[in-house]
This record gives sequence, C-alpha cells and structure tokens, in this order.
Amino acid sequence: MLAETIILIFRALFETLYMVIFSTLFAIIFGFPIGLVLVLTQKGGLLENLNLNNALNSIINTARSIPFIIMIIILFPLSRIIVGTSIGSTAAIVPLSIAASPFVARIIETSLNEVDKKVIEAAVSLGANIPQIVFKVMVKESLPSLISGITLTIINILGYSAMAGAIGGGGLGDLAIRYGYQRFRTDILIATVIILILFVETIQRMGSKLSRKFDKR
Amino acid sequence: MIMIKGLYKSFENEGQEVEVLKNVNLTIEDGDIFGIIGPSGAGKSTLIRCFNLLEKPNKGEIIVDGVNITKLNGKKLRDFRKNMGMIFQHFNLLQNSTVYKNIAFPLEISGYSKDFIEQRVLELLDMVNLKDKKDAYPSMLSGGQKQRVAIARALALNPKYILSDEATSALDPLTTRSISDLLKFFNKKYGITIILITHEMDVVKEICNKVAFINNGRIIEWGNTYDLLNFPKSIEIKQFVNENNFKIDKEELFKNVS
Ligand SMILES: Nc1ncnc2c1ncn2[C@@H]1O[C@H](COP(=O)(O)OP(=O)(O)OP(=O)(O)O)[C@@H](O)[C@H]1O
Ligand SMILES: [Mg+2]
Repeated sequence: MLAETIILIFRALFETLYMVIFSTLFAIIFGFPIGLVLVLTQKGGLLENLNLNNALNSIINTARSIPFIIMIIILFPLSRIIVGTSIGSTAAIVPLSIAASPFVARIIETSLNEVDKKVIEAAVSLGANIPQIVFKVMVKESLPSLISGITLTIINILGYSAMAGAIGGGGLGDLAIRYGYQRFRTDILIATVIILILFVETIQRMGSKLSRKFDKR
Repeated sequence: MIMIKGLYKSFENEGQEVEVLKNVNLTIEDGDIFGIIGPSGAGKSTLIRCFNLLEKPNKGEIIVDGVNITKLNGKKLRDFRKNMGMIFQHFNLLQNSTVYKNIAFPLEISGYSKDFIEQRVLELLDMVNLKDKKDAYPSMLSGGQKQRVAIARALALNPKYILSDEATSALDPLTTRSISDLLKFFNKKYGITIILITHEMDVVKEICNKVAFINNGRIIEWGNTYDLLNFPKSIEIKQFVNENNFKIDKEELFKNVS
C-alpha cells in the first residue's frame, strides 16, 4: 500500500519534471526570438520597424489574455498533429510551451531592455554587428535579469502543468486531483503539496543564487 | 585627414524639425588634437557623433582619408568604425565583463585569435597602467581607471582616430589631468588624431593644438588654439572665453602643446 503510493507519487513527480523541463526549453526557444525582435524593432531599436513591432505586440497581448485552461483546450488538437496523441505528459508539452511563449517573450523583452543604451552604442562605435551586439552585449549584460526571468517562467510553467495534468497530462496536479480530491486520499494530497512547495523553493533559491553570481554591477 | 563640408543635421521633435547643425565646415589634419567647445546644447555631441555615423547627417559630406563616409553602410561602415575609436563621459563599459574582456571585445568581434588577443590586451593594459586590474569588474574601479579601460578598448584595433565626448567631465581635476596626459601621449607616440569635446579649459589649453567654437549649431570660428582663445574675431567667443577663463599665455602653450 505504502510502496504503491510512493510509486504513484514518484511517477507523477517524474511526469511533472518531464513536462516542466521540456515546456520551459521550448518556451524559451520560441519566446527568445520573439522578445529579441520586440527589442530590436522598437522605437530607437537597432532594427527599428514599428509596423512589425506593433503587430507582434498585438499578437502577444491577445495570446496572453486567453485564460490558460482555455488555451490548453484550444491547443490539445495540435498535440495530436505534432506528437500523435492528445493525452499524456508528452501531449501536454505542446500547449504548455506555446502558452508560455508570449510570457517568455515579455520576460526576455524586459530583461534585454534593461541594458544601458550607451553600452550598446559603445559596441556600435567599435564596429560590432547585430548578432555580436545581441549575444556579446545585450545577453551578457542582462544575464542576471534573464536568469531571474527564466526562474519565474519555470515556476509559472509548473503551475500551468498542474492544470494541464488535470485534463489528461498526468503529473502531480493530476495526482492531487484524482487521488487527493476525488478519492479523499488526504495523504497523497498533502504529499503532492509538500513536493510542489519544495520544488518551487528549490528552483527559486537556485535561480536567485545563479542570478547573483552573474551580477557584477 | 577629415574634411567636413556643408554638414546639416536636424532632429524631429514632436513633429517639428529642429536644426541642430547648420552648414558645418571643418578640416582636421592628421596628428591634430582638435578641441570642440561651446555652450550646452550647441550641437557638440551631435557633431562628433556624425564623425562615426552614430548620427546620420541630413546633408553634407564627411570625407575621411578621401572617402565620403556618409554613404557607407553594412560591413563597410563597421570596418570604418574600427578605425575610429570613441570614448564617452560615462565610460560605457560592459558591466558584467572584466577589464580584460572589455578590452578584448573589439578584438573578439574582429575575429582575432585568442593568442593574439591576449598579447594585445596585455600590451594595452600596460600602456594604460592597469595590469593589476586585469580581472576586476568595472564596478570595482575608480572613474579614472574606468576611463583608462575605455581608452584601451578604443585603441585596441589601432585606430587612426579617437573621438572623445566629454571623457573627463565626470572626473576630478587631478584625474582629468592624467587622462588628458594619456590622450596626449597616444597622440605623440602613435600619431593618433584626436577629436575631443570638453567643457574644461585646462584640457583645451594643455592638449589641443586646434579648437572650434560652436554655438547654436554653427561653427563660429576655428583654428589654432592660441589665436582663437586670445584673439577671437567674434564677440561670442570673447564672452565665452571670459566666462570660462579660457585665456592662455604663450609660454603655457609652448610648454604643453608643441
Ligand atoms: N536624438 C535627439 N532627438 C532630438 N533632439 C536632439 C537629439 N539629440 C540632440 N538633440 C538636440 O540637439 C541639440 C544639440 O544637442 P547636443 O547634445 O549635440 O548638444 P551639446 O553641445 O553636446 O550639449 P552638452 O554640452 O549639454 O552636451 C539640443 O538642443 C538637443 O536637445
Ligand atoms: Mg554633449
């Protein structure tokens, strides 16, 4: 009985980790370029293009105003196309990544915008091209802020993953609802909550520490 | 040699065109330390930023060693900029990079080998007397040290020209002196042509062989430092020189400039 419960919890934990890690990874892969384009095309940006900037902003705002639970329902059919199924943790990664991308784009945008314009200008005056300015100046200078932003993203995706779990994605959220809530297994409910608290705490601590480590200002 | 011919620059301010540079004409000879002085808002920074096209002029030509650089873009512009280092009032160093990495930056983006970069950075650190600060971050340095890092960075690619926009305005008088001496040293030793903006008459007196006075976007007068400060033709310069105690005596000039 106890062994069974432990296996149940560990499987759920594994599913959650799997969902969170890959969703964060894909959300950054999609969100980073969008955030970067937002910064480069804004007024006074290195590739100023207000039409493109306005269009991107509208898309992001629209996407972010859709409640996440609705977003998942809309996007689950897409999972079937991309990963061949709309049930399970792998299927949940698709809506999680897409739903978190606009959030990541904003985080990246905010972080990159914190970089002193004068430092960027110094790089321009030294003959740097745009990729060099992006990676060697903007990303490097805003690394502490980017790390804090990604930490926040992971914690947010963890919260989203619990919702995704509830509609077929598996993981700790799913476990808490199916066993803890529907079958009155208070022990499982408490265990999942404790694991989630520890999870958030660990990520936050690691994120803050790493962010401070790279901050030499 | 840099020749500026009929340069105009205007900014759009709330739908209104404001002319900031009006028909600027100047010639800067190789080996000059060319000072630009004038009241706040006169257009000094805008002018110096046109030299490396951080601002694009609306009209006119900037001919650097025979090439009209106002037409340059893309790789040609970036390569041109590598021949014209720039230093700033607030240093503008990479905060999250060490002194070494800051100075290595222009070399890295130009694709030099690691060995060459190391050798060159150490050489530069030696020139600006900062060998022991190699691994420090800018936040750990004094203003004068930061500016020396910035100078080393600006010199890393062996530019023929250096632009300086109030590089000593954030520094105390003693540090100002050490920075202006350093600029003069590089001018004398390597023949680097320097164009500098300053509000400090000591800097002009001590290192500039030529000076231009700009007011309201126009060059009022320019030429030999001694003549311009002591026998200005225009009343505006007379006033400015008096207000700022800009006069110099010939002995001082010979002591410092020749
Ligand atoms: N990007 C800009 N957009 C609009 N107006 C500008 C811009 N840059 C400069 N100006 C205006 O151009 C004029 C000249 O500015 P500039 O910075 O060249 O003066 P300056 O001589 O360097 O002054 P200071 O001694 O205070 O540094 C000012 O009236 C300023 O408000
Ligand atoms: Mg200025």
